[in-house]
Amino acid sequence: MPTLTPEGRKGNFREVELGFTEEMAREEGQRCLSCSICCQCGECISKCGPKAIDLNDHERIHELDVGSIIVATGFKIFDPTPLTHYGFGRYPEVYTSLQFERLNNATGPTEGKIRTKDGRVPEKVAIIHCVGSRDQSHNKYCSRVCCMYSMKLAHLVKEKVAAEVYEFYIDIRSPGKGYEEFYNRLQEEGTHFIRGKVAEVTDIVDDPADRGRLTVVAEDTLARKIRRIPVDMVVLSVGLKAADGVEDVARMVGISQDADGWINELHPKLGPLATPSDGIFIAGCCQGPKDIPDSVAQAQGAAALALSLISRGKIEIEPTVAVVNDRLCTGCKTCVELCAYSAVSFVEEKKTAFVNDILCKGCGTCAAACPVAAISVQHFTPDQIFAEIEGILA
Amino acid sequence: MSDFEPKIIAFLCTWCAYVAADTAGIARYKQKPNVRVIRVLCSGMVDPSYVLKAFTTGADAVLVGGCHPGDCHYISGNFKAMRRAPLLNKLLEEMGVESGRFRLEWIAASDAPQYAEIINQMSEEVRRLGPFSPSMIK
Amino acid sequence: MGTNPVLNKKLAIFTATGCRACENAILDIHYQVSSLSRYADIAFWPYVLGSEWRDLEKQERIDICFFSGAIRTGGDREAALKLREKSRIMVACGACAAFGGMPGLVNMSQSSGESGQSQGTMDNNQQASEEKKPELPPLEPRVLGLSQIVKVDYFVPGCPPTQNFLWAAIQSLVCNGQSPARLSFAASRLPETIGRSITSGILPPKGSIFAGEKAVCASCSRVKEEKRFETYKRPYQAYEESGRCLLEQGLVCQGITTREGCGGLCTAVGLPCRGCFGKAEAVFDPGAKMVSAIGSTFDSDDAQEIAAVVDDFVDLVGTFYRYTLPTQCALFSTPPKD
Repeated sequence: MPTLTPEGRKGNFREVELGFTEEMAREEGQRCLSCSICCQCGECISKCGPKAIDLNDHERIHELDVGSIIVATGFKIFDPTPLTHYGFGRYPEVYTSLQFERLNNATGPTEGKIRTKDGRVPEKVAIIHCVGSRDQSHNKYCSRVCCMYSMKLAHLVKEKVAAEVYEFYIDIRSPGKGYEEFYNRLQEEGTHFIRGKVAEVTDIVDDPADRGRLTVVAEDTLARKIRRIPVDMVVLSVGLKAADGVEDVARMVGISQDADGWINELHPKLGPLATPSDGIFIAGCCQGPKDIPDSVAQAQGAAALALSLISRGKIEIEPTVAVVNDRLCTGCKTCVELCAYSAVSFVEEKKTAFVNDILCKGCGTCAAACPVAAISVQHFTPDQIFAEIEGILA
Repeated sequence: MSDFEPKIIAFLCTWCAYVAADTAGIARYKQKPNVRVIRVLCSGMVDPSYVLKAFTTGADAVLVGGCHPGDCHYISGNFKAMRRAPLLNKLLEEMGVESGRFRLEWIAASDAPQYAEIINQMSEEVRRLGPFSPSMIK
Repeated sequence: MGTNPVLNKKLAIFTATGCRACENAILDIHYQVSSLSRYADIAFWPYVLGSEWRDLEKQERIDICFFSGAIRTGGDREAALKLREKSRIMVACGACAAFGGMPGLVNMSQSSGESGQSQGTMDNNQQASEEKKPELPPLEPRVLGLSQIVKVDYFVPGCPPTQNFLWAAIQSLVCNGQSPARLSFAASRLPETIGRSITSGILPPKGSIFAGEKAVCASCSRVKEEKRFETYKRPYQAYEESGRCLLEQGLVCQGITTREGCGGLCTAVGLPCRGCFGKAEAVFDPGAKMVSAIGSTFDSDDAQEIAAVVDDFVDLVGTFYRYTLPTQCALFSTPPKD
């Protein structure tokens, strides 16, 4: 790579490396081995300064004994293909918000420039909120982050190509520091906010001059009229869903998911980071859709909870735990699978059940089911309850 | 039997039904005095043996109150109660315990009026059915 | 009959209302019968020796009475009282004496309350030949187990009792641990007090049951994987011969609540346990516990699905209290509220 002479550099900020001529680039390209796979040539090793590459490394399975696990399996975006009226996958200029983010990224296919697929600069961009969210047919919940990221994308469009931006929304959800102010700023910048769910994205245009554009059809509920707006690009603000494979992770660690696939927290208000299984914590979107600041807060909280288990050295448990009477237990295994906290296990050597009193919460389900009354919950034993019944009816 | 006062034993779960009963009392909802409460940790803790013990000791009816399915404080304890109830009902009916004497109800902690209504309704129904005697066979 | 008349125990063996399989079971201890003859002097055994009541009255004392059969008629009650009065040790032999047995199921029917005439109708033809027929004793208002009439010292459950524990009872009570013959108890556990009485003749505490302590599952040879009751099956319906627990295959096996001692004889050949050894130690009511164990492991949380499975179940009372209605069914064994 030819470089600027030291004299040429003096007094200016010109780039030192002058770049390749075409011949130089072609020559450099010839060096490529076109192997497409690692042929173990070792070139990378010699080039790596910190010596971070080890070609002899291989996959290993490690078994670790841990006291707590933090589940942070994240999310995936809603696939808008089933919403055929939006034309995703049919019309080239319909994008998901994630695709549009990538387009805007400086390391993306256009180095951050907003262009249509045939290279034009868009003059009009539509952003459709609540795709797959707040939808009786798909996900009933609100995905929480889409309004804010839609506004961010609108702002980027305005900044980069000064196009007309139309945001079709149901409600604007902008809680958080500076969020409402950002919304106001967007309105001042001239983004058109139209309250109405988009009925259709079609390539049929009303004005022949708009041929090649997409028409977004929506009812503007505040103005009480149907709008048909021709745009160059349509961005679908897709909602969030639980990540793929969460069921397997959840089953493996012994936690459960709700009807929408989000992991069940211990308590919706007072226990957002813990799960009913002691020592298993959750953080981030796996517990429910949320943005980055909230995810970070949860992650730090979950880490703190995990650390608190370690640092204390001992924990306090309730005395109302189930206890197995080995003399009576016949090893029928009726109790083992009933425990929601996986506290009951079977000891093969003794052929009896065993309750881990750290995990046991004392609900008594196993005790009630035991056919020989070999398990009982301390302070709620059958004898005690029988005494209550007799006393109360005396 | 106009002067018959039914004795109803209610096994109430600590986290939902018992709270509802407590709240109903504090809020002074009008309630018939026929229910005697035994607090358990979960409706899943109610062994059918307790129900039979209640009937053999002099109860005229038994109520088991738990959290709504999906809301159990212990995740799925109430589902176990729900699984046992139909089979227990069948056994009780075969033994001559009339339908209406054993009930499993879901009572949310915030639903004190519903609790009051259930026990008032149950008291009336059991009053109509009359006293329960274990020797009653079909 | 015995070698030393002074040391021999005087035995009475009697069946009230029963099929006499328990008495057959006593003979069924095979070569141990020779021990019985060496240590016992059977003074009263209507079934085998044709003894009559006056033979019993001739005896001053009976050492051990093996009483089988349920108390159904006034004659049964009289017999129980007579034998209890004469005997030092009273053993309730078999499920009928110990728990009321199968005859106990009649307590479910209202008409068992009638005293006096038998269940058959008396028409004119019968009336004419009535004198020729023997008079039937009056029926008790309900069938009872022996312990509900007299104090019982020991119980040997089973329908009929199995060879092992019947022999244990004879060995400890009759032979006082003296007989050198031993039976293997490998199939099921031997409680300490029983083991001691067999080897050293120290009698177990009064009221002991000659059976195991845990439930049948502990000695059942089948493999238990995971308790999940999917559908209800009758015993004749096909089940996999996989060696797996019968309850897990949908058959209502009462081994989980039944006292062990038989070694899991029925379950080993694929027949669900019917509970003839009575309820296990800490159980209040076997039917309630069966309902709890099976119900808790239903493979569904949907009310309609559960109702559909429960619909298939038939005759819960007859199943869960087949041998034990008069004594172990909480609702039926309580005396009426008067």
